[in-house]
Amino acid sequence: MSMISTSYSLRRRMLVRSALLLLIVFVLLSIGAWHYAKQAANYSYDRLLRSASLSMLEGVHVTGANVDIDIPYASFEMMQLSSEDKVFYRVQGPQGNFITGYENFPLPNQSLGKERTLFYDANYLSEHIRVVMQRKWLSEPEVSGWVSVYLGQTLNARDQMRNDILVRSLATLLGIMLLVLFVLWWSINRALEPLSTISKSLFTQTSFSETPLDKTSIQEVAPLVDAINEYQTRLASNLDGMKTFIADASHQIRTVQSATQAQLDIASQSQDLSQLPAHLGRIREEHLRLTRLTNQLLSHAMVVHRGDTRIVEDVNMESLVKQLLTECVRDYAHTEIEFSYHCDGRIGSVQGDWIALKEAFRNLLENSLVYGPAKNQIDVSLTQEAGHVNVIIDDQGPGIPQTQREQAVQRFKRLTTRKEGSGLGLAIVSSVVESHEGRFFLEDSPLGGLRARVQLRVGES
Amino acid sequence: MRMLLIEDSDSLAQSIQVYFHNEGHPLDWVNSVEKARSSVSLESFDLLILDINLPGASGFQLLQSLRANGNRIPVLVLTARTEIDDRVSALDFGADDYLAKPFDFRELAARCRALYRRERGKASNDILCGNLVYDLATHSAKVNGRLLELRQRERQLLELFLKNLDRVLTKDDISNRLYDFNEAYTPNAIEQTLTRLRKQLANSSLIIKTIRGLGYLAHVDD
Repeated sequence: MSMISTSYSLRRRMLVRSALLLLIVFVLLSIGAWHYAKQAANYSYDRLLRSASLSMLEGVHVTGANVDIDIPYASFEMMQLSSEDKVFYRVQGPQGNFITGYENFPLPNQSLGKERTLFYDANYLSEHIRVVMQRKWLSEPEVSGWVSVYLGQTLNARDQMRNDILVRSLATLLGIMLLVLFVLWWSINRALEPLSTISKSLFTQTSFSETPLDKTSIQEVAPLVDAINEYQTRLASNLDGMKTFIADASHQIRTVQSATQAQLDIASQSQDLSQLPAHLGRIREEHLRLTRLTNQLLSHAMVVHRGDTRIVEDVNMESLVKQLLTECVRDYAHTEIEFSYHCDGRIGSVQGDWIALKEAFRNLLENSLVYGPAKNQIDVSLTQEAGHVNVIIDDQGPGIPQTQREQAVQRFKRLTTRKEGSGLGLAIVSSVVESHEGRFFLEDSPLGGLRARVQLRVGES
Repeated sequence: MRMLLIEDSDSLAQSIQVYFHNEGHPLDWVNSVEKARSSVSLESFDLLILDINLPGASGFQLLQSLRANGNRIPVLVLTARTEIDDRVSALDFGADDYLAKPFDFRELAARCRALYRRERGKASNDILCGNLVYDLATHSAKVNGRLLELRQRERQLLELFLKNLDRVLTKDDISNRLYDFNEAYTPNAIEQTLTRLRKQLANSSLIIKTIRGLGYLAHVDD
């Protein structure tokens, strides 16, 4: 299981993120709006300034060598459109000589070419002003040169206008953003609604029920509902399997227990002491069966549990098989069973659970040992081909007929009436092989008995 | 062979006691780790049979403190827990062998004898394997008191097996121990030596199994 990080609300997270995004958009748009407002205000007032300066220039007249100006009334009228602003001006003759207006009026920094009109910003009497320079070329017989009119105006009206435009556009923007946020909130709620509907309908099922969730027409939610239903089906089948397993297990255990009980009762009633060893022998036999059954049940439970918890490590199959074989040879050294080991070159390691794999192969070996003849030959071989390792166990036992091989792998399917069998051995093997995504085959052995072959993937799983 | 059993189940402990008494081995029994600690400190035992699931302190704790104090007494661990996990931890904690409940008493006795034999082999010149006695000082072997007529190689091979009971010896292992660099040997020579040795050991408790493709394993069946 991965670690669960601190819980959070998907709704809140989506809303906060959208709101942040909207805020960024809002800031960018506001900067744009500010630029636009400034430009618009400048444009309008520059036009006014230009008209006023043009009409002033109209008032320039030449008398002899003298250049003079009568400032027309209309030009001041134009300037009065912005009542809060102050106006400064200067008129300059062809030699740059001061004619009228403010003597120390700020002149443009740049040198002039042939242009007749120039706008620039300046500071005058500690106020920001916008200035237009307007000039015309005089070519009279006695004077020739540029006559310039400089007309400056403070910025109050412009700022006023800029602010007006800005406030209005910002208000509109804000309105739109809030509307978008509201729509987002609404749609996020709407989109998350199926989640709460599903959880509600899961919560209302008090115990595990096999009725699947209702199909939904929402395409995006359908996979979730399908997945939950699929999971439910698998869980139900597992539960069914477990019920059968418990039923089978209790049947097996109780049968052996009753047999032991019966033998004990008979033995304790029996007056004939010479019969006692026979009874004891049978009790011992039944008890051994019970022990083996219990061990196999626990081993099966362990293997299934380990398979579920997905324990993965590098398993060196050679050393696993050698270790297991050594243990078997030691335990069966007193018998006439012959063992052999064959390993085909280097065998890669398998990604899996050492303990579960060893348990599986132990069961295969024990099957050969228990069901085989007294003079048995057991060959263990390891081969590797195309990314797979094969672990093969051959014996000279009676084998399992082709038709019963499938059945043999199932739980509690005992094929012989011999008492040692619990019917779980091959089921343990299948469980382990399944959880390692390998394959398990029962085949004919060249030795005449059964060949059990387990195929596992080498390397990364 | 004097043993101490640490086991909390009365009926199992009493049965084990009776069994070992019948076998002719004295066995003392305590039912808790605390009592075991005082017994071990007061008297000397050849072997401990230790149950893991005990009330109060667990068997592992006793094992750990014994080993921490440098006590090398052989310990055979009994447990009813899921087999494998306990085997790993039991051996990690310094147990010498391991047996899962329920067990066959004959198996328990055989394991105890094997542990005792291993421990005793370190101190004494005699290695006892059921009816086989090997004298490390004189390099002579007796089965049921009858002296075996062994050639030098056979004797060396027997000694090698006795020192590596229940372990697989490959042909390479054997040739490295039996032959030096100057001696040429063939795998066949080992095979022939072994065949003669097996013939000599025919009625003994020592079994030498061949695992074709892997090597040889000697086991005492007593």
